[in-house]
Amino acid sequence: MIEFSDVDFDYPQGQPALRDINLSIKTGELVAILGGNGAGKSTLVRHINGLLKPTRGTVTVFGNNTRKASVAEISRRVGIVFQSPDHQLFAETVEKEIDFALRNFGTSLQFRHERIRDVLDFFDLQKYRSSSPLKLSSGEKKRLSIASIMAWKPDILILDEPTVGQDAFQQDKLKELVGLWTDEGKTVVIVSHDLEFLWGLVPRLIILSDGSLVADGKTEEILMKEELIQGESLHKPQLLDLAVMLRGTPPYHSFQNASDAAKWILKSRE
Amino acid sequence: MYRLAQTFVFRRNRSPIQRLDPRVRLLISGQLLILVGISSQIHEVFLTLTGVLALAILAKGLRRLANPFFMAWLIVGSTLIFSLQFLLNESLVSAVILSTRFIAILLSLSIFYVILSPDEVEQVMKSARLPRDLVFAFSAALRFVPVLMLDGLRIMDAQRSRGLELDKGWPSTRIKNFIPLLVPFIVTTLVRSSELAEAMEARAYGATPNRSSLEILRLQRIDVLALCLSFAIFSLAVEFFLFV
Repeated sequence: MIEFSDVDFDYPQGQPALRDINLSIKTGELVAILGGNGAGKSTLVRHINGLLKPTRGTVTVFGNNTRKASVAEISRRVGIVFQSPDHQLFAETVEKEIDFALRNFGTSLQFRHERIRDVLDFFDLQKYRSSSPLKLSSGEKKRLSIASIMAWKPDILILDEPTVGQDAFQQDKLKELVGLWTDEGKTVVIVSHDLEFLWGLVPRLIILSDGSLVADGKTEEILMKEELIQGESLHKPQLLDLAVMLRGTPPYHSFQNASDAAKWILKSRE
Repeated sequence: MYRLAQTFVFRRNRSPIQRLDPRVRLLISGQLLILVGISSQIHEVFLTLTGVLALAILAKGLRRLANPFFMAWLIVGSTLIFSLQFLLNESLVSAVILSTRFIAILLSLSIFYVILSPDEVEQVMKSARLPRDLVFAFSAALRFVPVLMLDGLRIMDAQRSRGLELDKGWPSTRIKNFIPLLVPFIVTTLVRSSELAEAMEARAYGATPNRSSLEILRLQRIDVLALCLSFAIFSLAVEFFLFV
């Protein structure tokens, strides 16, 4: 459980970054945090593992106040995949990169071997096991940075702009991974602008604007708030737009593909 | 780190110092650095330090130099130097001189960032007819100091989120703990430099041997006055420090 109570955060020069945030994310929930550039999304998620401490108010994760615990302690349960993989990759080999956090957290050797094998398989990185992470392509680096966080199975997974630089196949893989993670009862928080990716995947959207929470609710309901979506410089999914235009009413569920959308639109004409 | 980086970000203001020609500002800053270098007695070091602080006040940059994080680094460094010097030479005076000189050197180097923007440094170097590539490399390096510090902060965040604890363990472990920070830092710096070089080339950098300047430096009466005044003070100080 993640709980933000009356949270304010000011940057060192005194500029406000977050204002009066009250937010609760339950265990096992899948939510997305959206907003324009500089809305405070990344600042908000950095509070969840204690990298940033609120100027006012409290952030609790599984009942522990983040102000009173070290980042390393909180990170055992909260994994953050940062936007740029270049800021974290350093090890000699891909295998050692994944092992880095497992070693820091003092997990058993057997668990380490199992997890390294599992994530390498899942992210299709097995063939690079002994290669340098620095030689991978940008998409592969991104996958490796996600794999190195998934390795220790944190209870809360935070993905900061996970679709940047990922092709359609890898985006589908990412969706699959998010699904698997939530099936295991883990919490997933995605920070993204990509509504095409989020629609149909994330049931709850939280929208930030200038450091304040402006919307929090079901994805389908929020997507119908035209002014809000446009005001935050977001684009509605194209299939949703088309369906609403042709049928006049919103679908209240997502479409897997164009054919799904076409069936739903044609249904109204039968 | 983020707060520390703020000390090295140039901010334009309407202070008397920032209204001067950049060449004059650079000269004043250089004179102060020379004075720090030649001051060997305790009163000389304190006099130079007063000069640095006076310049900071005139440049409206004292608050930035008084940044708590920068001050913390200064205090830690000077205390370390003081203790080492005191232990090795058993002389309180030399320990005070050396630690104060350390503070004066760092402050006079930092004031450079308060009174001169990287663009102005580039202008000054160009006006001195230094090779174009050298001028560009130098000004780019200055411009990227705060950016690189922020990169360092992001890297630290990423590794701390994977359980890295920099302040735990034996000294050897602590040194080893810096490897996960250093490697990405060097890599991102190299990548950034190569991207910058490509972006510059893509915008025709080096296409013509003689580039024109948007702004041409011209000395005003106030600049000449400041120049004369600073030379007078500098000459007096040198005379006092070396020959009295």
